[in-house]
Amino acid sequence: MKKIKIAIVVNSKKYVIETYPNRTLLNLLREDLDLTGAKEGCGEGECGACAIIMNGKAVNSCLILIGQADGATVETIESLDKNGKLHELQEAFIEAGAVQCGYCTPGMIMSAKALLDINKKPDDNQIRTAISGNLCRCTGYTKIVEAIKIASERMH
Amino acid sequence: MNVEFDFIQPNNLNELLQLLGDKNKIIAGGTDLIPRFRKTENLSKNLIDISHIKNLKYIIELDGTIELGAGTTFEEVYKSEIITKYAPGLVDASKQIGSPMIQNRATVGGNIANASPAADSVLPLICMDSVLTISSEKGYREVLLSDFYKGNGITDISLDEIITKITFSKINNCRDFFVKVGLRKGLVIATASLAVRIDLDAEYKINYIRIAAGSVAPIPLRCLKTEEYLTGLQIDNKTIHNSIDILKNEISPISDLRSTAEYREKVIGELFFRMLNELYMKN
Amino acid sequence: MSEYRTIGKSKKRVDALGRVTGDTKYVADIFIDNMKYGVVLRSIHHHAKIINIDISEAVKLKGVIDIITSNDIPGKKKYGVIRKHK
Repeated sequence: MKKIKIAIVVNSKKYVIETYPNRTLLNLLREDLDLTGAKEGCGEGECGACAIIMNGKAVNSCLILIGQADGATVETIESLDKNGKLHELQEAFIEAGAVQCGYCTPGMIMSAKALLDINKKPDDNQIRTAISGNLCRCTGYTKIVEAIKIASERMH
Repeated sequence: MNVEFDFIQPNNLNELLQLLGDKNKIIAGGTDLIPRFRKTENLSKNLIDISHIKNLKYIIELDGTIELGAGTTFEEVYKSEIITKYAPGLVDASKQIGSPMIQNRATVGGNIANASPAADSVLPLICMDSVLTISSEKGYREVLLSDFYKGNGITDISLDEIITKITFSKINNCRDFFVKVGLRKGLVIATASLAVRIDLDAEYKINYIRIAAGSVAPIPLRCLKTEEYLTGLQIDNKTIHNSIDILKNEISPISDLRSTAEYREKVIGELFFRMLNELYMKN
Repeated sequence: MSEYRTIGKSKKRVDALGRVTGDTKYVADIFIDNMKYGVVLRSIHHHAKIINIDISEAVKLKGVIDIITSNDIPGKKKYGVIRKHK
């Protein structure tokens, strides 16, 4: 199997990476770049724990082959807090009690961010739809929806 | 994943067509393929990535038709004003495939070619009398989508061909319906699903009807017998019930991990009844 | 009566910060050079009595370093209370 070379921007940093093509973007983030915020929950795009933003859209990074991410701009959870200052979503998740075990949290926040980047004042339905690809076994989702609502209000 | 392959990215459609053949496998959104690869030990093929190819992604309105590139994602489909205006059933289906994250990657061509009998977008596309353009290095041919499925997982396409375009006519006076019933609302393969396109006039006469049912046959099923019975018919309570009987006989649901044959039959009958009844009551 | 510091107050989870930033390392996030991975194989038969486990073929598979069963437990193999089903 021939290695391939890709160029990718992750959290505003440029990388050129040479590796095997049967790896996913999730593998690359977690193993090569030490960005372990995105998690592998199912490996099948059914849980959303691997959610990141690629070229402005929320995607399951476990379903993107490395070669398909060539030339892409990627944002992960690690890009949200700047110089110790938390993003409104991160603050709201903590305050609203939307974090328990935390395994779904990075994916949830990235799906929420992708929503708020294009819809500044989502209603409850739009929030629920935006996170419908992210499973949470702990919270029952109510606090998560509240947190996203609070964040959207604070952002604007 | 254990499976190994060489990864090739053609820059445009021409380069792609030259690569097609039995040594190469196409990947677009990867939302069906990559989960399958995790359970595969040997592929013995190269992987041809078409997710970057711009001339497979488009939605164009022409004089009497609309053309949809096979590489268009479902997010691009449901956000399109053209599709919203002329194919609201397809918009509904696109929003119920998998999840928003899956919709951001999965393509129309992939949903069609994957040939699941539960394929959500295929049902409204069948109701729109969609025609597939299937291209190869040698040229192209056209196939009616409802003729594309020959049996469970068997489609009218060869290894050196690829679906490049889906075309359908602009139709007025029709209403689209799409309902997907599943074990939950999101991230689910349909237990039973139904798409209908219907033109019911002021005298309750059905001028035009197309019906497609999902997860109740080895293929996404166009329900021709029910369509035949209803076309040109003036509907009333009796004909509505007759048509449901014909529909229930036309499908062939099975019992599997998701549901039973009996439940699926009941659901299809009920969904069709509610749709016809809603129109009947409204008029 | 002095004011309570915790009772009646809203408190942030002490571990929430690392989880919302992605900094918290879960076990799956730990990568050490040359690390080995362990996998548990569970019985697919309920209430079954294990008579024998034959590892001879499995141990030859590519990537398998070793297979550990109860036979490898040194000393006393019984631990805890076994309650008979009613």
